[in-house]
Amino acid sequence: MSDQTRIPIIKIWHLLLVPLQGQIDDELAERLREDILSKVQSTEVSALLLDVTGLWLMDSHFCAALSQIAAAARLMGCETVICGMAPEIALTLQTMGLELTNVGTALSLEQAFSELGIGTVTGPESWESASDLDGSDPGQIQYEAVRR
Amino acid sequence: MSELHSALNALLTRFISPIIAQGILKRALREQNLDPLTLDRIGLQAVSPRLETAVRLFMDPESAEAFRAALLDLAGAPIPLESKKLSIKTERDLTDALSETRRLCQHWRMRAISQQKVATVVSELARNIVNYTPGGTVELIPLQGHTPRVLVRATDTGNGIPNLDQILEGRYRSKTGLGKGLLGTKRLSDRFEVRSGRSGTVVEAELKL
Repeated sequence: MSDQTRIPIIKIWHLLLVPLQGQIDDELAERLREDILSKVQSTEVSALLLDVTGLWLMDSHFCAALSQIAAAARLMGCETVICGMAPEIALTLQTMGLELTNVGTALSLEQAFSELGIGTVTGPESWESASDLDGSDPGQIQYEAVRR
Repeated sequence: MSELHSALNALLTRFISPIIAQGILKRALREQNLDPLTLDRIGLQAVSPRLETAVRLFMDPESAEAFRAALLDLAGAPIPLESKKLSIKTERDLTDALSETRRLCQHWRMRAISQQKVATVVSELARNIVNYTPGGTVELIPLQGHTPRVLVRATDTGNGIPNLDQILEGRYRSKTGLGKGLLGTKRLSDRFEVRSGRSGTVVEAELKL
């Protein structure tokens, strides 16, 4: 099954989004590591966002693999954030005493975006952060990458 | 509501007021992740200890005992939950073992957090077997009774775990994270035992449901 499974690595502005799903076996983890680091280099992003909403299990082996990817990405000037962890997993990891070194955490994808400098820009109240607004509708919401 | 659920509600209201009965039942089912519409005998078996504890607040000891007997009667003969032995040798066996563990835990009506713990323990122990030994087995044994538990027993034919004492005391530091799985398993378990030597290793981890 792992021959066919390909985890998407999606570039969004200055970050790479990797939505992890299902079961990640050793082979998949290794390919993922290579693909991610290679893409970090080619896209020159400064942040890597691993979404684990689709994961049902995270064990010590997986945490070690993640920490390894994060450490390597850091050497390339890229910061790693993980988001979407289920409460059961968080509780289990904490009880086991496992740590995710080199990895920042966020509750949701939205919050992770916010921490990594991507936010929303709304109407006339925030002129200073909008580059230029289309004046047609004062209530219009625009999404914009704002480097903070 | 399933027939069994209605019968259970009726049983409760023989002893306590309908409103309290409803509350207790609703909460117990929710905590055990059971659906009233599909409540079956296995589910009833799983939730019975919870119900017995909950009603003690509202009944005197004699009534509580009578309730317990009536509940046993309703549940019928305990459905023996079967153990499962999984053979572990390759990476593929590991993924299959996890799927099977998940299926079994759901069949046994375990709470989400307990399912998580059991699956994590299986993942850790099976991975050690795959990575460091020629092969082995992982058994999942349901222990029924007043405190339902699951016993996970991992047996292998490897050469034993080096630095076992250091690992279990958390003093072992390894770049690859070797040993963290075993220590983590110990921390997750209610009872944990390792017997390791030159001809193989047996790890037993008991977890409450």
